[in-house]
Amino acid sequence: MTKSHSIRIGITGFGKMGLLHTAILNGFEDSKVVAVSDPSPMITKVLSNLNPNIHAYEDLSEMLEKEPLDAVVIASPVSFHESAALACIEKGIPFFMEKPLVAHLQQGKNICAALEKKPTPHMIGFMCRYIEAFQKGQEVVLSKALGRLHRVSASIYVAQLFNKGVGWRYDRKVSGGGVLLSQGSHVLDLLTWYFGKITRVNAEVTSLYSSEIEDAAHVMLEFQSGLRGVLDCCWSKRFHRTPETRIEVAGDNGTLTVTDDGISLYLDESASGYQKGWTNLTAPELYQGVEVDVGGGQYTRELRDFLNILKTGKPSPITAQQALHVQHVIEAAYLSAERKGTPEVI
Amino acid sequence: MTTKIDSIILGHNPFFGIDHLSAQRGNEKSQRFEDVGKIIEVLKHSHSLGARGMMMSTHPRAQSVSKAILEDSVLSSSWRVYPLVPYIQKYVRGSNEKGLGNLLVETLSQATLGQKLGLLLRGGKGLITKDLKQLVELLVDIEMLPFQKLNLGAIFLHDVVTDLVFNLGLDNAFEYFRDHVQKKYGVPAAFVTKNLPAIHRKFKANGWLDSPIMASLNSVGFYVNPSIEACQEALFDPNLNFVAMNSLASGHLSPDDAYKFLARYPALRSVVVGVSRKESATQTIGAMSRHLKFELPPQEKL
Ligand SMILES: NC(=O)c1ccc[n+]([C@@H]2O[C@H](COP(=O)([O-])OP(=O)(O)OC[C@H]3O[C@@H](n4cnc5c(N)ncnc54)[C@H](O)[C@@H]3O)[C@@H](O)[C@H]2O)c1
Repeated sequence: MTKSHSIRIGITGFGKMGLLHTAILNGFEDSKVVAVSDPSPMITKVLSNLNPNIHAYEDLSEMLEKEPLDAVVIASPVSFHESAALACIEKGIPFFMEKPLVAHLQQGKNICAALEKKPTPHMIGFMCRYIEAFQKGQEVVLSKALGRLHRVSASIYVAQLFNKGVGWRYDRKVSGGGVLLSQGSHVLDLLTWYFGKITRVNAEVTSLYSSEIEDAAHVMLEFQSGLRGVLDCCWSKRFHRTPETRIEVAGDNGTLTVTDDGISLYLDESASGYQKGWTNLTAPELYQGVEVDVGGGQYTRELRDFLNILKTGKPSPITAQQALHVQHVIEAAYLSAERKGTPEVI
Repeated sequence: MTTKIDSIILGHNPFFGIDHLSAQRGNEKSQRFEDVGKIIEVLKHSHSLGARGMMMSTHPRAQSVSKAILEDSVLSSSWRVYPLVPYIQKYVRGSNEKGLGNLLVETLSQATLGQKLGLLLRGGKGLITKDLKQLVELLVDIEMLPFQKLNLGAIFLHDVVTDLVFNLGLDNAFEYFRDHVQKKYGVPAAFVTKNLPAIHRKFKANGWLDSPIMASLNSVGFYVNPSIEACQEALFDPNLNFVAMNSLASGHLSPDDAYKFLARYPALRSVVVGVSRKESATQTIGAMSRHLKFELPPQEKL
């Protein structure tokens, strides 16, 4: 396929993630970025001057009006996700949207309602599902090698905030929440991918440096299957240079630990093709090369899957409906924390 | 410009607490090296085995390491530093707080480079292609401030920037970086990438193969994109000045196996390897001298 026949992409929100998605989609053989929109034009204008094949806009609706686009990538701050998604749905343009789904549950419901009325190909960017170790972990869980599951314990920590935060992430109106929504949503997405829907939570949250949002959260989870567990998140955790996720699950036949760096499985008896005793798989063993790598293979793989939806019409692997469930869980956790940890049903 | 870089270049990651295999291991190493004297010990030991250079980012700890190198009688005269620019973490943090555009303006305004600041005032509205040259030059100079007195071997552009610039289609920026580094700093401009085949094709087409290109290479394909097979054309190009990183696949491979594998590639000029202890330096550098056709300085006893 030549570039002139390739899938034409528009990007809205040209910050770090917008830049990353632009580079990957422009690097692919079969897609190209033709327009970017961002209300603050400094960087987009520079880009467009240096690469005239990419047009710059300050306003998403103007970009949608003027550019013939095959798909849009939404990478604006969270509170702008709803209006951007609704604009794409109205025009029938497929969209890839960054996580978390929205800032407030109601916005997510609005998106899902619009999609129900007018189904539009889309995908939400919970990229942890495209990290090799988490994929392997899911394989082990679905294989039922662990037998009856006892408990799951998960965490995500990063050394990000040790002063009062500056920027939209720390402004509740724009972000919708703190570490639980920003980072914890990745883990909740993985947990529902591994173990199914969550039906009940209770939670406590702590603000260490922020006044409007939580810097740490501790959430007790109950799944539809009856499995129980806990998620702990904190973005003021020393010595975690990059976000580190850990999921530990125990069952009648053994235990499984999954981190960004690999998996470690112990089984009392061999089961589902996994050997008795320890199976350790590290990042070098699990690594899979990608066609274009900018900032990590997971971003390439998720965008490749998105393009596959467009090309083959196959169903989206991560729908707004799935992301809405994560949003529900988080909203319930906030409510529980406000009520001093009372259980909330989802 | 002829490309002459050291065959063995120590990586900075273990000294700064970065471990690609295990974050926990990285933290442990970081603790061990809080005492800069311990880093210097490893450097001098490696020097005695024939290593003459190290990579260095502007990590907060880099300044004390630079100072210690300059104060050491052996290292100050015969140890070359290979800066890796820019220090990405700083930019990611800054852009979270201020947005990319403001960050750029703020970064540039740190420069005490008087007349060039006119560029900034136009920067917001109408930065155009010819301004890009000045912009690249300014950014390089700002990033190089911490390395002023050190002996340089080459200046490496961080893979995040190389791969962004390439995929965004901003080839001019590469040219400006090459010209400026060679003219002002008198060393080769070098590039780290996660996409070796694509960068090799581009650099070959543009006649830029004098610039060393660094990418991951190991027999298990860890961080090798898109695959080892797809890299063969580049790795068998004798005109490519290839620098291998991740050769031990984060400790997954033994040095002997790792360097036997690298030895088959005619493009290989140099290996960047992280060592965190004297014993591992002895083992790793020993394996390199056994398997690779590197010319090392004569061994000396400290
Ligand atoms: N998947 C991941 O790993 C990951 C990581 C970081 C952020 N994110 C998500 O990506 C999105 C962007 O985050 P970021 O880190 O790139 O932020 P950022 O601050 O770097 O960039 C946001 C950009 O959006 C622009 N913007 C502001 N209002 C806008 C509007 N109304 N319409 C369009 N653009 C607007 C800003 O000018 C800025 O350039 C968020 O949804 C965030 O949650 C995902």
